[in-house]
Amino acid sequence: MTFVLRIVAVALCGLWMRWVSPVVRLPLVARAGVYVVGGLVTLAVEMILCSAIHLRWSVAALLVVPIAAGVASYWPLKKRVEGAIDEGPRPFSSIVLIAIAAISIAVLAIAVASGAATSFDLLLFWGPKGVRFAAARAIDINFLAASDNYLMHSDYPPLVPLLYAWTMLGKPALNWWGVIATAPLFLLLSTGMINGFARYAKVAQADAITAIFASLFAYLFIMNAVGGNGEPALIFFETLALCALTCTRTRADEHAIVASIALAAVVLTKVEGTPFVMLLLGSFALFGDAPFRERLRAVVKASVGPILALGGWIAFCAHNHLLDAYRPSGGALTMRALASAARLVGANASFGLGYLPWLIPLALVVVGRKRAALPYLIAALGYGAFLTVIYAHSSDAGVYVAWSATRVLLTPLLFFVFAALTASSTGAQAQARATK
Amino acid sequence: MMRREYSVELVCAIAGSLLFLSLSIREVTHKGAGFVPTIVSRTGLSPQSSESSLLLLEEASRAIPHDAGVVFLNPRDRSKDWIHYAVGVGLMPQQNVLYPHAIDSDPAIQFLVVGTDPFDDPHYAPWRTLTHGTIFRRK
Repeated sequence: MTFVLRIVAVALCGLWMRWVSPVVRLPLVARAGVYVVGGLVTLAVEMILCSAIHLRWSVAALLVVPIAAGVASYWPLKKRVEGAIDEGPRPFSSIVLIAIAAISIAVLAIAVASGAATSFDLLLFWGPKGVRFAAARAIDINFLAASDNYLMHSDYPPLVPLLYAWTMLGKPALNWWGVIATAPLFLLLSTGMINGFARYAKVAQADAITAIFASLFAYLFIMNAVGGNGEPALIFFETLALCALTCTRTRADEHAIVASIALAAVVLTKVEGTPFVMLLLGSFALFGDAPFRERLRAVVKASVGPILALGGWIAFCAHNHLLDAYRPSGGALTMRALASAARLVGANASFGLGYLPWLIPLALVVVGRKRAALPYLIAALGYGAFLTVIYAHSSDAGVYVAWSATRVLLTPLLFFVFAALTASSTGAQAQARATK
Repeated sequence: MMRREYSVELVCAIAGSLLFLSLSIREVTHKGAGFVPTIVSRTGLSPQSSESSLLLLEEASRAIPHDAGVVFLNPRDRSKDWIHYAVGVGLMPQQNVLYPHAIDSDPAIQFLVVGTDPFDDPHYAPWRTLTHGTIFRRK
């Protein structure tokens, strides 16, 4: 029960996101996810700041400011609610698609509840960190710095362990079942965000993309057994960032502040979050389907959150002598190693399904607005290249690829889903500009 | 033209999402569904031993006094000390779980939690016998 209440409290901590102008105009299914992301970032930032100034965490102290901000956000709201989307009844095909999405998430929930969708990464890495942080009521610097814990990677982005610590604060143990249940929860919220944002932006095939996303990621979460690990959270945050940059009605920077907050969460969740941010913003700025100035404004605004979050975390680690993965390191890179790693990544990218997870979104791109999909396809290619270089640097690429490739390839797959989404949009933004 | 494109998209989406849904159902059916005692009872290479370890630690964490120095150990395979240590840290938050550098000479280690494998050390004596293993206490 405590676990559920703490998760609800996370959403309440993000209610202040109502201050961000277009959020209240989004459908409720999208707003729910936005509030949870806002709450997670708020709590994570508070917990890091408290640790930096040696202030022990307490539930009440962490809740005061975000809850007060959330309550205050209800006052000046009347004017801003105008313009909320007004939709007619949905066709039968939409109901079928939404039903498929809902059943897919339910199947994931059954897999999780049956102890069939988690891995030892949770028991060896994410969970122990959360438990020790909760016990210390702070980011436990002594624990992270201890040589016995070198595999805990002292400077690894802390958001997921901080979430687990938050749910355990003041309690004797972590609710492990609750922790793995976050996988279907994050997928449900991500699905709601995709559907809500796409409907807001009048994407013609909003429900089709929703069904593809939910069924594909439910399957890959089960296949990769990622319940309680960092991947469901990372995909959740990446989804919001992509929604915020993709699904706009008027200007490309309409949701840039939301994107900024989601990208802050991305860089605080996994190390792979940083190349995601760079590739997304880079390709959006260079190849986006909007006037250059608008794109530039969006990218500048969206980059503030991740820069502050990552900079703050690295500064915290440097100050406490915890730098490990973020310390610059070199190493010889040969063409042979690159080619070998590319072959291995390419083979794993089929997911044992003849590359269908890529081909199905790609089919929607082919019949849609290909130009609009370009930034996301380029970002996916860039991410594939990044993974290849990282694996080529490793001592035994074969082992590392087999261990992790089908999990880290979830991010470029998400780019493909958004390529399909933008390709099937009616270009509401372009139409809005044309009518000005 | 527009209608045809939309119908292609719909067919792709429905067929694709039904395919992925059926793959999910196949995966769950293959792994098994229904109540299990631990979160890893149907996962990993040896779900049975993982389940036993988690149940043992759960029992041991209730039995061993708070803040006591504890090592969780598999005497048959010391190459996996780090794994046992990390799992112990997560599942025994009330105790001070330690790395088994020197179990015979480190005075901070007061208890050893060992599975059903035979274990004999002159510095420790059996303290509690649990369903899935034994707790040893420093003599």
